[in-house]
Amino acid sequence: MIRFLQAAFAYRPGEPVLAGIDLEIPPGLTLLLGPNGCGKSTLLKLASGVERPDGGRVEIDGHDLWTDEVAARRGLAYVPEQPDLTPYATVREILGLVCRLRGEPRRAAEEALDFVGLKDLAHRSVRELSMGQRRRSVLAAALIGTPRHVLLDEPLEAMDRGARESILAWIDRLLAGDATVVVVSHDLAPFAPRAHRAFTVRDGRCLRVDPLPGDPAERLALLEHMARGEPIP
Amino acid sequence: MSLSPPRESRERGLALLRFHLHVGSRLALRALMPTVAAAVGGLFLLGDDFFISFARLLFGTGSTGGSGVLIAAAAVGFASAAAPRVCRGLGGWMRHLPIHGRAQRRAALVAIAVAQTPLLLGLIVFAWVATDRGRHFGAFLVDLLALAVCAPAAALAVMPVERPAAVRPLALAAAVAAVSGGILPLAAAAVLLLAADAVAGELPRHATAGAPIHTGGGLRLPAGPVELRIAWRALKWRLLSAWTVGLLPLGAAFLFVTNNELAPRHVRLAALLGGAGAVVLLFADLGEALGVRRPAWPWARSLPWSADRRVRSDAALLAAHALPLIVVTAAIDLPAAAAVLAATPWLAARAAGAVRRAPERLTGASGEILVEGFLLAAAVALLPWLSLLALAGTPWAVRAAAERERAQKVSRWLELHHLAVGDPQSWSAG
Repeated sequence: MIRFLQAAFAYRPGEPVLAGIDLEIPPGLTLLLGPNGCGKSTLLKLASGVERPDGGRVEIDGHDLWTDEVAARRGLAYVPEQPDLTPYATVREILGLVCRLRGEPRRAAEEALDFVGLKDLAHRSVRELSMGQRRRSVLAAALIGTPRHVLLDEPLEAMDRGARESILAWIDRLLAGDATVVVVSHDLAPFAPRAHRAFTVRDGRCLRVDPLPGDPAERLALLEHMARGEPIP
Repeated sequence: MSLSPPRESRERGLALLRFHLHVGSRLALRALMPTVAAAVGGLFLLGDDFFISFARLLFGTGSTGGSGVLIAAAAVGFASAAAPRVCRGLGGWMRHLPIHGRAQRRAALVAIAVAQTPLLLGLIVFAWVATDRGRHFGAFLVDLLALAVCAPAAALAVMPVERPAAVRPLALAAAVAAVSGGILPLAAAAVLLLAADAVAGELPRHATAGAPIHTGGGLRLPAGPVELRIAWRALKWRLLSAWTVGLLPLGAAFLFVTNNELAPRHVRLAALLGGAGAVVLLFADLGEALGVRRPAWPWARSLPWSADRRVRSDAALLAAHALPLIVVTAAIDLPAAAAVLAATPWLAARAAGAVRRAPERLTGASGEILVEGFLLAAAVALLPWLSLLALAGTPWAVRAAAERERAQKVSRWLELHHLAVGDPQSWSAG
């Protein structure tokens, strides 16, 4: 369970992106939708512990992300839209670090590299990789171990057809294992049938639709509304 | 209405030159205030006599090749700081613009030369003083011409070019020869500079993409946790310059102690000041390089490690590199080295904290490290037992630095594309 308790955040003083939100994200697939700049990715950064809230708290399975840092992050995997990997490390070293921090054997890194098709590029530094390859690297990092909370920011962007299918199959496996998966995406069709609930951010507040309609057409129409920032019917 | 091809080409070249002149001027303005402040401070501390003697040493009739090496080294230092900032981005999108690659490289060279303006202004003042306030106008003119050749030669020696192996020795020789005094060396320098320019070619294609990580060859990387290796790769050869800077106060302390008949407590005072000052200068240089070349890594914050651990890792890296300076301090005075050693963990933890504030400060990480560090160095020199207090306070310093690590808004640049001090990523090219 990911829980936001009165969490507030602003990049610039006086211009809140999130204005004291209370939110609980239980296991299952949660879609985070909305127009550009509404605060979806920021919400994900707060949930992943990349940014600390200016006020309030964010908890993962009851552990505060900023006072109980290691325990809260132990089962967390985050795939950002912009894979900001350090340029001073090779792909293998980054995955080795993730293995060490998650207490997994080094073999897990090789398996993850194999899964995302980067085995031949593992010795390369991040600077030598294309954007798509960098995204595959952070995806490989997310595959290491058995994360219980997976935060994916536009996971299908810059991915070819084969990679998209592999990612969706992985998400299905995570959901079957009762993991919490939060996805920010403008590409609704692949996720609509899998989603359990959807959120959107408006004026710093979070609006929730849970559960989603069972009828596939009605469900997709509702998600499209939310993605465009239109009033929820 | 279309322009004739030669005129069109000239117009494009001028536009590019104007663009790079703006870049160079901005860099020069950035360095101007600290340089002027250092010059005024130095003048007040060292006095007129020293200033005049130094001017004569550099540009007077008795000046030798050694003076030329000193001036050229300073020019190369300024150029090395400017080159990555000027050249970043030139190998990418800029390449699609309708301008020759060689013209791009020459315009960048002008920008790097212009960025040396604060240094050149200082040297011109020295030349003016050395030539009896310009009364020996011929000599003053030769000095001006020498500096006009030295600056682009220094720029060419450090900027990325297609054939660096051929260009760097020629350009360095030109920079030194230009300021070695006399018309003949100056003429030789001009020829060397033209030759270097002729073989330099264009900017290399990898100038912006970033070179691959070479884990073998060159400076060997220590085995160990990857976070330490990443920091080491970000620093690499900068460690040598940081140690060199750190050795300056120790060298001064050593000369002071060996050339004067001093009471033991004065020897200790000099060793304490020199040793602690050396560690502070080292941390300022390394902290600045870490803040610039290894900015915060947002994604890594989602991994299960604590802010405390990341800060401790940086502090340990900094402290480990201070050990050679402490050994040198021990050669001057052993108890002084012990006091410096005791103060080092505190200084390292505070420096690790300053690195976390670097993106928000115009003075980067080094400003805070220098101010806090020299205050502590002075205090420890006067009351050495304070170093034990600093050692006891280290856990608090680590906690404060970790709190800064947590408080960083690491993705602000990506979201807003604005920070008061500019794009932190653009500085990571250096």
